[in-house]
Amino acid sequence: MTTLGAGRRRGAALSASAVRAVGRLLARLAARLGVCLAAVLLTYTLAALSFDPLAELRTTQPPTPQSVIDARATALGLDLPVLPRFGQWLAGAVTGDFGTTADGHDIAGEVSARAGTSIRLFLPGGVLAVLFGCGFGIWGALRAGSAADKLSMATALLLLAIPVFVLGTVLKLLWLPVNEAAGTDLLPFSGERTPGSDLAGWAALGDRLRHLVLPTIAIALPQIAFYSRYQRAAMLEVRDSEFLRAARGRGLRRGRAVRRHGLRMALIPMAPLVAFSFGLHLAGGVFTERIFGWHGLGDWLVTAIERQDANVVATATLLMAVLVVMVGWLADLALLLLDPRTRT
Amino acid sequence: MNVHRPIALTGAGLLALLVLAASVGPLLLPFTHTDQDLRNVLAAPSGAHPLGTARLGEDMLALCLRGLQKSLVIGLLAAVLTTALSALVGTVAGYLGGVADRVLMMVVDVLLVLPPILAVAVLSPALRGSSWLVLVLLIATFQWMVTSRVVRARARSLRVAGYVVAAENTGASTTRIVTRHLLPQMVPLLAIDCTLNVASAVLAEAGLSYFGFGVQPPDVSLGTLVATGTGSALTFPWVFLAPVGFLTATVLAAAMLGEGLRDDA
Repeated sequence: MTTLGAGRRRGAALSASAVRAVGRLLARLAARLGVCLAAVLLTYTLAALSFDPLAELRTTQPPTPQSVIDARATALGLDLPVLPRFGQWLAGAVTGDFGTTADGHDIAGEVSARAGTSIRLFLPGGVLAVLFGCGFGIWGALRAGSAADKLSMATALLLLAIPVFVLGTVLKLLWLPVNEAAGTDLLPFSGERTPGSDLAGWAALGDRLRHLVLPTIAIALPQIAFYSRYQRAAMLEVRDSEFLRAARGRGLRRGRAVRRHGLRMALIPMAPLVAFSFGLHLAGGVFTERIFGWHGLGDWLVTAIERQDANVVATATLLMAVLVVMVGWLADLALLLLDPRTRT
Repeated sequence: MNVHRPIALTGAGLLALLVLAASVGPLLLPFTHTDQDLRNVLAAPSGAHPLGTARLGEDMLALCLRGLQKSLVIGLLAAVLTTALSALVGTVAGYLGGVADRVLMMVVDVLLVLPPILAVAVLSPALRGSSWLVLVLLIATFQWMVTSRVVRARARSLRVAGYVVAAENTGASTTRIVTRHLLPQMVPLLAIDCTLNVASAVLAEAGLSYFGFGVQPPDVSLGTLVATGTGSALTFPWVFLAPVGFLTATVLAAAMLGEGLRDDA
């Protein structure tokens, strides 16, 4: 009976801590959403200050009548101050109405296509980057000071010095001879799939995968370099820690001690790092989308800035910020699973 | 800080070499970056043009050195500004704590979500025709956040240090404590971050110029040169690879120096 009672009490304690954990996750999500909203407001304000959608009308020959310019300004909501204009846009955005582009098209129609393209581009690259980045970091830390470790660190430093917009083109340049030798585009340079092809099923998937290889490498390489450096430092700290020595002292072999006790501790600092740096990697991906002709969020944003289209800039920024929030929240969740101390 | 580590020394040497090349190099060349050798348009590297020529027969080496000049000046200025701003915000927030700290860190959080390159890009239509100095200001405005976090953490831990408390007890003003007692303590940390910020600022400038949002023609920077070169990278690779080489070398040199200094700071 007593053991049963103890078991019940233990169960109750567990569920209470689970409730606290879920509460903490929700609080983190709310905080992240708040920051994301502030960032979109900031972008909208910057765009409203900087863009002049009426410039073209003012410089036409013969001159456009002032009444037409005024009417256009009213139609675009330019007679309102920035904050109410943002409020109007946000009220629409919450219900899925993102307003219209500067040339009068509905934005909502393009949202899912743009977001989908970016996710298809970033998901494989990002997952590979985290896996390989952490892998290389741990691998290097366990043989710190060896030639292999020094080489991998030097490579990482070099990769981080190569701008993202150079890396994509360099990959094309390196692969070009292979495509030429094959006489066909083994790995195509542009777009998500071969345009106008009527492939279906496995052939279509294969076609998409072949389009994905080079951009994925371009997205993953700098991130692998970035994560591996941090992971190496984190693992080095764990390697020299007391608890790992204690585990060895208990008679565990080095590999088993590292796997069972060290790995979890070394991975803990990586969760917030991924959350914190994802926005920067997403910004780097804007170049990758451009170079490989993927019409995702980044490409949309840059085009919108060129066209001085505030609504599209706000929509693209909001979607990118939501992606950052989602990744950040996944990192919060990972931290909760990795680190029992965050659960109490 | 140990400046004698090989990685720091290599970085410093490479950086010095690049600064020297950018400042003295153009004087030694027989061409300026605008001279057109119209009989050798888009020519491959040769004795006369060691890095080949561009679309209008401009010497690639002259173009790259000119671009390197602009990139280095922008990078160095932006890095100094970035570091100064983050030092100020970080120390004030860390030392004062309370409401000031919370407000400043909220600003940091919001700005951190917005990648600097996108923020400056959004502002670029308003900047058409303004000087490149505005670009420097903007890069600094959107890049100080990470360093300020580090500085803040250091300032918070120094708040209870004996000499700071002693200064408080003698009635020193906040301004005096921040400028005379806290900031000097941060100099090694700030020097390292400034070096690393040079690398980020050079990359930011290049990225912005790549999209046409940064340095405007007829000015050239390494970013604009890479952008022009990208179009013909697969047909006339030297037009692309020459500025890429200089850009990578610059960023790598600054990063190596910063890393070498940091490891044992």
